[in-house]
Amino acid sequence: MSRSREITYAEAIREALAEEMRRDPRIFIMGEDISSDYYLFPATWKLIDEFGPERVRDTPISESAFTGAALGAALIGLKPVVEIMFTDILTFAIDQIINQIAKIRYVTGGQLKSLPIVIRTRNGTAKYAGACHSQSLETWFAHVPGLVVALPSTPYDAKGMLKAALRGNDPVIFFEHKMLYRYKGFVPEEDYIVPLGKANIIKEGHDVTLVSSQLMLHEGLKAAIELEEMGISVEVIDIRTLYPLDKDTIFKSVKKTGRLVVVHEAPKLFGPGAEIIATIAEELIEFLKCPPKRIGMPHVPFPVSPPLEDALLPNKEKIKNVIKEIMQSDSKNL
Amino acid sequence: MRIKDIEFMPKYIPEELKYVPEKISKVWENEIMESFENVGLNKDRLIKIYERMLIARYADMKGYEMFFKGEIPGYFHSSVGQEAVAFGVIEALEPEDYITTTYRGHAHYIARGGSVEKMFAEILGKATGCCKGKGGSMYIIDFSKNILYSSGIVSAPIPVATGIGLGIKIKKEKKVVAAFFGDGATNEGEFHECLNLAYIWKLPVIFIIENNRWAITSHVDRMMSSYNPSLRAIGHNIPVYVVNGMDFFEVYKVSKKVIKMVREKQEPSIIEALTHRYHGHTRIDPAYGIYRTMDVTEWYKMDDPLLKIRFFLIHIGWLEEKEIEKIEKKAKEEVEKAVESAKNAPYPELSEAYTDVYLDYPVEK
Repeated sequence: MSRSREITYAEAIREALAEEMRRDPRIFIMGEDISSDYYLFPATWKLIDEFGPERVRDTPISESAFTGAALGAALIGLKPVVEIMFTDILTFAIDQIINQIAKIRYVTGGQLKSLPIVIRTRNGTAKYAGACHSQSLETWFAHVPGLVVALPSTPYDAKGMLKAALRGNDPVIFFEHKMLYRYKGFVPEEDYIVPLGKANIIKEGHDVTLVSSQLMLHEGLKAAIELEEMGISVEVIDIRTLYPLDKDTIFKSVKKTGRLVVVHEAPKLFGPGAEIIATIAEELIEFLKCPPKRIGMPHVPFPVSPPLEDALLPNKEKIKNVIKEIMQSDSKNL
Repeated sequence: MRIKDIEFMPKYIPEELKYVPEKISKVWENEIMESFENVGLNKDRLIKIYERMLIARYADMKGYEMFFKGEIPGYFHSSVGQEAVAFGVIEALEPEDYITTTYRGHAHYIARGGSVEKMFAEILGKATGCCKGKGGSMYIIDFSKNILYSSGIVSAPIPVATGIGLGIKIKKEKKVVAAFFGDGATNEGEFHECLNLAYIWKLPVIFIIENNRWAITSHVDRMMSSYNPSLRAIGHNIPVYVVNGMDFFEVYKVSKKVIKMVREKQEPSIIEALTHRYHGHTRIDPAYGIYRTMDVTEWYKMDDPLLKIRFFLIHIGWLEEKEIEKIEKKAKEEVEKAVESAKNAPYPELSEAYTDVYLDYPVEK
């Protein structure tokens, strides 16, 4: 019998780290301020008490240096977990991620086998955190061969996917979402993993396929529940990972519904929606009853002013409106 | 016209350098022998080192020549002139110590006992290359030689080497890591970040700055606030040793001492080796004539690291000029032979393009 209890997304991450560190002495974590009780984000709180400063390593504000150091440590058999406080700050480590970590196995002709590096960071809005603490840059990394891009949306997935990342052999950019940190969900007490590369159907439906992840998945789910009452049946898919992208699950759903909406916090242009819709256009266009839709941020930075951010970010209402619109227009356009 | 650039011997050798005494004084010889024994050098070992250095020299001269003929895909960065740094440091390391090299890393690989044939096969993109032809000239990486890293990005190996040092520390091994990089890389923030990290974490890393004073065509005088890049380390509390990188003996002796200290104390150090790149950075800039005068290059060749060992071997009476010529001929032939077999080696199968990207996941074709 599986026992389950409700814990937060942050607690799920902390449990995954602690359990895997107990299981595998090669794992160590490093990042800015991660050992402090006063650190803004509770995902690493108190880990230092159990694992000590060698394995829970505070770093100076030198993202490029310690991300590269993770690669070096992995080259001689360790399993580093790097924490970069915000997605926006990944830009400091970008050479090490894009040109080094993602490519080293390839350019050594496979002399290097396992490269278990997990880079944890925090994606998305934090409610009015402004231009460089709010971005969602997952497509940048999915665009680079050699990286796995994970986007957990629930405490269950956060724990299971982080465990899968830590037991895998490929570098993973693990985007947590700031607004989900306090979100509670059921998580089993016993060990489990959620394999990376497998999407999850959150809610079944037959009229429209809504593809999303993280905070926008929750908004989309709320929209879907309200639309259900209005007689529109929405199938909600959580992609879980942007690379590998589980095309099969999305294809199966689009074949059934014939309508596709993708929603994300990343800018609409060149965002995850662009890739997903392009793939559908290439391979399944004959199944579409109407043009697919993307919902994302307009092409502007995040403003701090609350009414401005609220107006720019996609939300439940916007998703509902787009879905209602395409249901009305239906097959007239194709 | 440009092929001329690759001649490495000085066109003009001053008379006093040509002078070979009949027999070296006994006092001087004893003194040298003693200082040699102190650092583990002897006649046989020095001759072997000279042989390998010649191979490194001829290999890069050959590569540079092939590059200008358009026979090499991608880029080619010659180490000619900088061999004493590679050999001086690497000879002072233990085989189990780690090395990170750079895009100008051919001499490091040969110094570590790498195969010239595997190196040229890699440079030519052949299946028999040390990285199956997928890395090319800038990635002469060989795990079996503990050469763990290289990159086409100048400063990128510095954090990686720092991380290898961190790994050594966490695993409680008695090893060190030697990180080679150029003066240009010290203008990247990563250099400063890593000195700080290596100091606060007490990591067994030896940062080796191969200061050839040129970042492509930009001289340190124009591009650097301090004349010596290693002076910047003072703020990070890391000991600095500046050596004549054109002198194998000096680099070797200092490295020996520094490596011993780093290994025992498990703390970082910096060796800055002042050296000279005889060739251009890569293809576009010739060795001299545009941004540096021929005089300067010729002047440095007077200080050539190989010539120094050559003169030494003759002066001390360990080898006759004729024997040395034989060694030189043999090295040249070995390089030619290796290049020929690399040229004849097969290219990788096309399916190879899709391997080594992920281990657990499929590749999107």
